[in-house]
Amino acid sequence: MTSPRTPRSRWLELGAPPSVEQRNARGAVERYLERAVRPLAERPERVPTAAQLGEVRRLAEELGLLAAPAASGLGLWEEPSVAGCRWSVGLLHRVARESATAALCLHHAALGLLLGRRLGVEDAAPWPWLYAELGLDKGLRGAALGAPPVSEAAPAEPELAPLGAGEAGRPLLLGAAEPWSALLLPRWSDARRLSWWRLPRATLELTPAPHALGLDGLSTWQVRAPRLGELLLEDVAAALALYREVLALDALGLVGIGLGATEGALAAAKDYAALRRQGGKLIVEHVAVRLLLSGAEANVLSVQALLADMTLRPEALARVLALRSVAHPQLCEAASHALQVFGGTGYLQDTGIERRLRDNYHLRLLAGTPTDLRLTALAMEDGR
Amino acid sequence: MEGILSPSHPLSPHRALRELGWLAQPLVAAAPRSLWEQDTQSLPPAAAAYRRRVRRFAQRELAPRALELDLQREPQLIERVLEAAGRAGLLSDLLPAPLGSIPPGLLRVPFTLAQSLKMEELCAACAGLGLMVGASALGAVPLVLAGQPRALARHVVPAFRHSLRSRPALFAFAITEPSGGSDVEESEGALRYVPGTVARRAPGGWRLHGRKVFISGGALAQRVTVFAALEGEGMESWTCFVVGRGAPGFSVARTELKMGQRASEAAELVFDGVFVPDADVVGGLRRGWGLNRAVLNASRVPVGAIALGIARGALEGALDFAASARLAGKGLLDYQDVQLGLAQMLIEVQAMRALVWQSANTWRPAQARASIAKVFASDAALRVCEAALELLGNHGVLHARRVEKQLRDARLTQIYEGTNQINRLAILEEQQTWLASAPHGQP
Ligand SMILES: Cc1cc2nc3c(=O)[nH]c(=O)nc-3n(C[C@H](O)[C@H](O)[C@H](O)COP(=O)(O)OP(=O)(O)OC[C@H]3O[C@@H](n4cnc5c(N)ncnc54)[C@H](O)[C@@H]3O)c2cc1C
Repeated sequence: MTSPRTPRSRWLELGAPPSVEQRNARGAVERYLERAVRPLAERPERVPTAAQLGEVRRLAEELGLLAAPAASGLGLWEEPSVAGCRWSVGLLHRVARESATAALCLHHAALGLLLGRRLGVEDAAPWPWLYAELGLDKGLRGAALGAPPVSEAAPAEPELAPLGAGEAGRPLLLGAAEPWSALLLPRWSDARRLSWWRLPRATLELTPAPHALGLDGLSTWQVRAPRLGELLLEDVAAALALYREVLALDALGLVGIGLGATEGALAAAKDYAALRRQGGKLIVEHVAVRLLLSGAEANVLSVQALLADMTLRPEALARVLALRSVAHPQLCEAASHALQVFGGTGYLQDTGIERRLRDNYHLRLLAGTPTDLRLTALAMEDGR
Repeated sequence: MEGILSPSHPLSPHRALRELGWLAQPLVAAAPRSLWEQDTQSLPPAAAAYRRRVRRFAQRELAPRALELDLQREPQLIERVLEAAGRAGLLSDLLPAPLGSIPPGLLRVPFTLAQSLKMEELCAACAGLGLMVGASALGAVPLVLAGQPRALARHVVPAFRHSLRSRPALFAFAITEPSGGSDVEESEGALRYVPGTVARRAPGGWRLHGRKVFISGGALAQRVTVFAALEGEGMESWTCFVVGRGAPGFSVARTELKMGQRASEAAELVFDGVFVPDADVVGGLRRGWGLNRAVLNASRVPVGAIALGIARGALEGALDFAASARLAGKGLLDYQDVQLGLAQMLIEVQAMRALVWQSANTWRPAQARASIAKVFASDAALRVCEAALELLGNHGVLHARRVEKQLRDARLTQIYEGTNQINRLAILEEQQTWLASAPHGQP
């Protein structure tokens, strides 16, 4: 089926057309995808190895997509303008059409590098741990995130406990991909005061905690950090501003990745529907199948519109979080519709469709569930 | 629980109801038990006892192995669980003892209800292993429904006895073909479908040629009930045949890697001139389509029960997490969003069970009611699993927490035994005369 509404390009177009540099860069990205990312997706039933994901990152660095010289404008999350944001989201979306795991690795590696630059750390591969103890859970820190900035130092030796002694029944979790050398994380010393910290990997106690709900290949650990680590930024206003900024970028990236994975699923479902025959005709001719496809497409278009809005004003964090809370359930539903078009074949790992649904469910739980996001957005208004 | 009055408070209904007069006591539920217990008590005593027994079995034999088998299908482990299921009478409960294992008291309970009770309990512990047990019943149902004493004596009774006494002797049910999935589940499609598996006349019997795909338990089964068209004829000639595991020409081409329900295999079966004697034609020539539809009417409610079991498992996983985890100095159960989420899951599970039990409580399972239960329960199961995942937050992705497995398992219930789209059409197919006979709602 060719739908007039479906863009032919595999690149996400949000608002203004891409710059000449960006357009030229797309060709290089396509070659990069061919070399580094597509091998991960060719056999969807296989879990990408750490070496393969390392290669995804290495080649991205080589190409200037990660840690590019600031002037290129092509490095992920390097350029704070609307155009820069849209480039980054578009890039993640494009990568996620092939592999959401690869896209997530690049996204978080880039956020780590961004934080590293801002916080002045030397690590080659810092990794962001934005939701270490109390991220967006239950909106409990929403008021502080929404409050007008008050400059004050967090206590130099704050009353912070070592991380991960944790609260009963709920050890701290980290999802990360190799290579990473240190964690950069925000910590709350009370309901208002935030500071940024560095935890070198060698000082951490990491216990593997395998997951199976998508983003195959990404490692998950339970983390304990017996030592406090290195205090990097104690000015509360600056710390909060940086946190707000990366939370917004994280939200944009996660939605972009989910959208890319879903669009990949939808494109595959359309292809399949135009090939598979049941009931004496191609299944695309059954209204039941058309409802699945059109429902998925409407969700995809809706999330594209949400993303266009989110990238226009990433500084409007409450809005970004609220929109993200709507986007992920829509993406899950769309990916599920795509799977249903395949019937039993969609349930098999080698089709790759079920993986895209799992990826979307995983993304929906990362960095705040939809409920957490909404409660945080509302609490931010209280803070104001 | 913060915000919920404790049962010991004078204003708590627990206390207030107990203090009503003795005349009121028989009419009020002053000390209600868990919903599971209340529902069990509403069943006839034999069914209640059966439900308790299967639950104990599932918790003992299935639950401890569910995660391991989800990661890797370990054949010996699966065999051991099935052996235990066989000895517990769960692979032979389509016939009364001593031919099978239905205890006398349970004979008064419709078998779709008994199967539904069983599938909920098994699948709350592990849907993959539950499916292995359920698929075997599915494979035997055509033989039971066809009601031919000789076929029962030749295949069903020996298999049931074998399962009860030594090793599991499983059945599998094979209708799906590479080019016909929905087409073998609904009549409009069947009308236009050119059958892929064909029976050719041979002296003393038939030779089967073709392939069947996605057959649950197909690689382990001792006997497969296979549906094929007679050579040169269409779907109206569909006939059911019993094929033994070792029959020359029969082979397993592959077993699939699946999103969930991984402890059960979905096998592609090849029939390369497999000889089936006339005695192993089930229910008569050209009776296969009717038999198939009768089997689906009987099996779609238990598929609803599979979904129900999975949802209950997810709910229990969410409850365990909420009861043990703390966040920002208080228990998760003290947060009102968690309380509301749990309440909604309880509502969904309760509604699923009510519908499944109501639809199952008949000796003549009918198409619309069966499909309604299957579609509603499978869609609701997804909602419950999603809610459970969200309650766990980022812990939801962890394999050890089980809930993500339950979500993966639940997704299959919207596909097999006819996709939910096909089941919706089946509701209309059965009810079309009534639907077309306007005006409705008049005496
Ligand atoms: C793990 C697993 C276990 C299974 N176990 C068994 C088993 O034990 N025995 C067995 O025989 N089969 C089994 N099946 C097969 C299962 O019943 C079929 O997969 C299911 O009926 C759908 O058929 P299909 O996969 O061919 O999808 P298709 O029929 O190709 O359907 C593709 C899409 O088209 C839609 N569609 C098709 N026809 C129509 C129509 N006429 N009108 C509207 N929409 C239509 C469907 O709803 C679906 O969305 C199993 C499948 C799986 C995945």
